[in-house]
Amino acid sequence: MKLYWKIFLLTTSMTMMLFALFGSSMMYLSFSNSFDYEIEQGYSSQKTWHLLFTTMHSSSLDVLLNPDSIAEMDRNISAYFAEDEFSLMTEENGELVSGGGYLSEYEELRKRMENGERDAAYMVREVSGHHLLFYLSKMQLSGEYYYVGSCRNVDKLYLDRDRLYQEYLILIIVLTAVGSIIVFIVSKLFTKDIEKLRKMARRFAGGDYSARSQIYTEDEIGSLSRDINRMADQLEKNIIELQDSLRRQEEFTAAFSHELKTPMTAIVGYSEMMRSMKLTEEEIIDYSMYICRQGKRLEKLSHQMLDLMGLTPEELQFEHLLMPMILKEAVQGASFSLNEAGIVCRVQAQAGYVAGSRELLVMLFGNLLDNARKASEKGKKIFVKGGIQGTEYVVTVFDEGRGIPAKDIGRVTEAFYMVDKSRARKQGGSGLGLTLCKRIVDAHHGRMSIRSRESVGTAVHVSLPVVGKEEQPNENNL
Amino acid sequence: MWKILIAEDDEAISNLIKVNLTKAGYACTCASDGKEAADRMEREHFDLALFDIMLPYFNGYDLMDYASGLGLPVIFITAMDRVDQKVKGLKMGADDYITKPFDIVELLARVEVVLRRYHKTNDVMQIGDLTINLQSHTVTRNGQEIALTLKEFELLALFARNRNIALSRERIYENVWESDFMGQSRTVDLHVQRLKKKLGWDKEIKSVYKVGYRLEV
Repeated sequence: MKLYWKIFLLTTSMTMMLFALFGSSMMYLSFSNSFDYEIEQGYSSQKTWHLLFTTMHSSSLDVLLNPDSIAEMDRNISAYFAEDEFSLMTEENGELVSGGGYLSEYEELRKRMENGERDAAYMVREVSGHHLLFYLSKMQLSGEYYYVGSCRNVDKLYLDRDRLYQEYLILIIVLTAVGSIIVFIVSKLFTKDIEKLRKMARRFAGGDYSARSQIYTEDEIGSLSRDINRMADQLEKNIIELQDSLRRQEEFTAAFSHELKTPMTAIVGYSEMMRSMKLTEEEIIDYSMYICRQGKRLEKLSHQMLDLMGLTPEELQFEHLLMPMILKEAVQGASFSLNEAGIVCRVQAQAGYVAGSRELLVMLFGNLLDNARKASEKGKKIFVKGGIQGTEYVVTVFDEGRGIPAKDIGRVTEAFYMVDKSRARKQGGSGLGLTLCKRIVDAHHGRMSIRSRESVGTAVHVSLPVVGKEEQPNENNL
Repeated sequence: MWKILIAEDDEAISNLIKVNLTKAGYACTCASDGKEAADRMEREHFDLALFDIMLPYFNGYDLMDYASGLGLPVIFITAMDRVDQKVKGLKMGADDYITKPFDIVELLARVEVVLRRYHKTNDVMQIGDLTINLQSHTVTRNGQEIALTLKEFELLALFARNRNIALSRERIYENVWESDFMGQSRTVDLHVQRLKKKLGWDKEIKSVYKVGYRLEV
């Protein structure tokens, strides 16, 4: 509200001031012109009088210049002048003498003339409520000096001016009133847009992140509005990302604590039973097995969690690794359990170098082999293939196991996600294996993808960027 | 014999609860996922249900709706001990909420409390030839009343409710004397001796090495 009042008051006062300035200047000029005109007229009247007088005088040569004849001539000539009232005066003892009036005024003019050494002078005086223009000039006639004084009424000038002034005042007031109403409406319209923007900002701040401004004008407010919308878009995106991230963290924590607490409950529960109850030998053996298995489960979980936590990309030391060697090592590590399960594993790997951590990559492929083994029945085969494709080294682990249902494939890398919980737990799974694999692949700037068909098998592809062979510093440069 | 339905997908825990409740004298049925639990509830009658919240197919909250429709009391068992989860469970109408890891004795006590709330507990317990009436606070053998002090009776009731489970002196004291145990093992021992004498249960109430006492029946 304050802004449009400001605009309104500013505009109104400025307009009034300008009008007043303009008006006064105009009126002054107009008055000035009229005034000058009157003076001109007065002056030319004077000259005309002089001419007439001299003409009359010269046409009657033998006229004796006595006051009477002068007065008569004066009267005759004066009849010609409608507006001016003339007085012919002489000087006696330093003062003007006349049969007419306004002696003091003419006296003043005479002094001015003498001081300025001029032969004519004028002034305006207000006498008995009227504005009178007095003129005085000096005339020499037959060796005698005469003063010709004229007086005209210039009330009209002043009346006109005053009337104009009043009319103008009214005009200003009316125009300003109309103008200010318009300004008021317009500035309110402009600030309405500002108010709209304010409302939108408040809604957004209040939690409605979809709030946007609907102002699309081409002016500054419009472009401000567009910028604010863009800002809101970005903020909304950030807020959603943060909320998502928070939610994912909470889910992770919840899942983790669940995975932790469940085996603990079992361990505590069974051992409590063993401690406080009289049990049969069979029961004792059963419960001990439970405790042992759950303990192992916790062990595996804690190891994998530590691995997961330890995977900070900044701290990894990369070397150039020969992939076939890595794969061989992974298969070797899994050979015991593969033999036990009666599953054969074949490796076919092209030469190729990848920048990475030996330990992590062996863990990665070890995990994949583990999963392949757990999914497969006795007698089935696992096939590991590695080769260069373009700029990447691609490793695929194929198994002929039970496969992953289509609806679960997208989620298998989620922490603690298990397609079949009970089977997974029986096999000692924690739900973190593939999560760990994905983290390792990410840390190596690679990609991992899974294809699977239930009852047919699964193929896990891992692509890692290829590098050239690098000299190992320590061994070869002795 | 009260029938309890246990819905828990982790086999080790499911078995743990089943064994303990069975030993305490309840008839237990285990369901390993939400679907199986729902089926069972529909087909058979139960007096109490224990639901884990994270179950495949239907979770504990879904089953809750179904159970309250049947008028079946429910206790939630879960690893989530966040306050808002607990409140949600209780607001949905669960009768109690217990978090993992839990003490088996505590679980038994809560089961009993809920059953009692639904007037489903026995006011009378039978142990051997002894009849314990919790309502009238009397103990009879073959119709003959045996005089016990208030504390002795409470002690007997505690043993009866936790038969075959070893109870520490601490637990006994806190339960029967309802205040913090600060080493008053003499009080507990004395009362146990007197109880054994009065009931003639020299062999039944056994001293358990490093734990406390256990009523064996």
